[in-house]
Amino acid sequence: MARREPLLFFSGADAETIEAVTARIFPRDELGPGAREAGVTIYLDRALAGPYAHLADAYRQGLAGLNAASQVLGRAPFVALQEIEQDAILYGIEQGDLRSFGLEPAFMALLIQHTREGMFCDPAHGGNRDLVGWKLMGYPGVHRVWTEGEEQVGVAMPARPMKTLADDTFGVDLPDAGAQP
Amino acid sequence: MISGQILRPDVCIVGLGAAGGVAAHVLTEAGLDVVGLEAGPHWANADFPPDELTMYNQRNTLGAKFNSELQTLRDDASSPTRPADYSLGMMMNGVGGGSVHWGAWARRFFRTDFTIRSSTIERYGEDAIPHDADVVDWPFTYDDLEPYYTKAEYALGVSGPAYKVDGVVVDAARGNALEEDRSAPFPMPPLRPFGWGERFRDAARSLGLHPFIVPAGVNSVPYDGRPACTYCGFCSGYGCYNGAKASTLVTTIPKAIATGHLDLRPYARVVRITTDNSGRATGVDYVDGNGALQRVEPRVVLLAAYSTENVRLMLLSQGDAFPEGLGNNSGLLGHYFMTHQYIETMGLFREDVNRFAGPVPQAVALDDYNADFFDHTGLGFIRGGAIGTENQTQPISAAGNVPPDFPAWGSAYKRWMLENWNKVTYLRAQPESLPHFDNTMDLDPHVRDRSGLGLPVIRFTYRQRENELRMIDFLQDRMVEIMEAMDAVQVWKGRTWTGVGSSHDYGGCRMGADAASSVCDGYGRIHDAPNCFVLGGATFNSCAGQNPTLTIAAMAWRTAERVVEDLR
Repeated sequence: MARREPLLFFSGADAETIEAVTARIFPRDELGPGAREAGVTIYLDRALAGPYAHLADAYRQGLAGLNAASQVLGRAPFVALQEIEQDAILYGIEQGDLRSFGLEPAFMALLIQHTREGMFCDPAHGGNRDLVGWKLMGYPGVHRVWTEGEEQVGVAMPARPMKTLADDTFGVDLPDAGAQP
Repeated sequence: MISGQILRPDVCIVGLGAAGGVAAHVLTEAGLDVVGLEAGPHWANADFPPDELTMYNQRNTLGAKFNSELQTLRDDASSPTRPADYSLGMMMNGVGGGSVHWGAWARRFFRTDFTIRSSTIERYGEDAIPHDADVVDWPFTYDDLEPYYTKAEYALGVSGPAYKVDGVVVDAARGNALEEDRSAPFPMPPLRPFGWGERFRDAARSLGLHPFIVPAGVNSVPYDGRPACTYCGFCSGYGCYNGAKASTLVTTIPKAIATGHLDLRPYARVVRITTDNSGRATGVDYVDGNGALQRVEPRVVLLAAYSTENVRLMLLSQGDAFPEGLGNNSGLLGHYFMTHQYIETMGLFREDVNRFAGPVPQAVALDDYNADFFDHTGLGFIRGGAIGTENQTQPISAAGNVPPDFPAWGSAYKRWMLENWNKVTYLRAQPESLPHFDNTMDLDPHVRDRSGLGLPVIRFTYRQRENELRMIDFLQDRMVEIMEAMDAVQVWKGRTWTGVGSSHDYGGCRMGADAASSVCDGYGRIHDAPNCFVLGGATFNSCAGQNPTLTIAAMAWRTAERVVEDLR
């Protein structure tokens, strides 16, 4: 797979495996894009090269176990399996059925949590590319001022331009930083 | 080898958080010279971006030192040790400490929190106290602390409705009918009401309960040179971008600096307190930002790090007078560890609740099931916890709120979560845990920190007891009743164990008059080390069922006044 971003942690093959895994955890479907489109793999690659460096071993062991299980159960690496076979393996990890491959349920919990982070984090971190995650949710983005009318139960989501960390000015653009909104 | 010039101030404060930041203010106003050693940076408001991944229960970006010293946990002395799990959040480092990232529920403790043993015996008899617990009264009362609560509320800036002031009811509609009498109103009116909180208040009232607007350490109007809150919702677990949230970073510490009497040293990691043969503290050794060992030799030492780090430093500070660690001649240092589990009941609603549009300190709570405000006869436990709810949610955490019997991944998860993330919310309780001798903190014999210093990390030994488990069941049942009265379409209970490190961690330095059964006196003065005091949650004799920060600040103020008298 040709990549336009440099990989900081994963090998190319591992990146493809992670992309296949996270695309099953948060799939593209009739509701819209999924982890592949959001750039979850790049998010995770940057995280493991930096703030999640302490999880590097967990990922290396997990990826090795994943491909070992795929070879034994599906006679192919994980990326080459059918989606239904991939789901069966991920379900098996979650249920603790694949411990003999070194695959603990905690690894699946980590993958789920990190997929959510890559889907719904600020795009500054490499995930949520083109704001696909926030658009799917209808999350209105980062705003420094909310009004009383907007924090009521049952009111429609405010029609505001979706802002991110890159738009934040730490309040210097507020009309009156000392005023009650 | 000591690298630089040895500083000899009146007082050295270790840790400039909620406790140390308040003490620095009181001491410097009195004209004492203070060196403040803070392990983290000196933050500015611009260091606090609206970025969920930085939050204290995500990457905890503001807690680099804490993250390098993650603790371990075992159920009891014969169980295997594993990495500690954290619930509400992890601790941060830097000037302002935990008061930078706190949720700003500025709660006072109740009268019976300080008389937990005698009040329980008076109402239920001695047998009501669990036999495996070692419950004791505090060496001071609510009345002793009340003036300092008021001072702290005005120095930090608290917005809230007082139910009554000096016995006169002033705001029965919004105030806490169960709160103790107060000598002054809050300095600011409460934060504005929010839709979800109002639904909680209406439902709780319909059940005959006494909901109230939680006092918030956040400016509802401009106060003391700082602006009002703009309700951005990046509050609990984050630093505040405009200084509206009351941290010591933006309130008491700037005032201490302005006196010219505070020598504030960030990136100063204290590694030991030295003592002489009589037990007096002789100096504080720290490693500076360049890795060089430095030393302060003050007249008085205030240990004001987080509760777990205070205990760790004391255990690491052995000397001829304290062979088992500073203040540990009773053998009790690190014992009676207590923590809050963050017990939640989740509800799914028909409408969007829009909790992203405001901060955690916009909150509503009730104390009907807290402390001893209900009859425990026949319930099989004593004490309780506040139940409340609050604003603030961000997308990553919202994406995790699915019912326990539902898939956590795949297309079914995706559909449910996208449809319901803004319709799911929680009530939360803070169950009081009781002090047990064998719930402890000590130094892990095998695990060292990853900070570069390689010092042992804290090992918790903690097991939930019957009293706590029954209380949690009871509180969850009450939260289900309230959720149903709020018209939830689906309700489910969260876990009964959420973690040992909660950011509400207490005990280890029990207070008392008797040096054989406590570590320090009612001012935090260490027995046998008369010029060394402990501040903060480590000194709590019980942990109450509500938030600790205001009590920590008030106690620090009271101790600082005591130190001023000592040195006069």
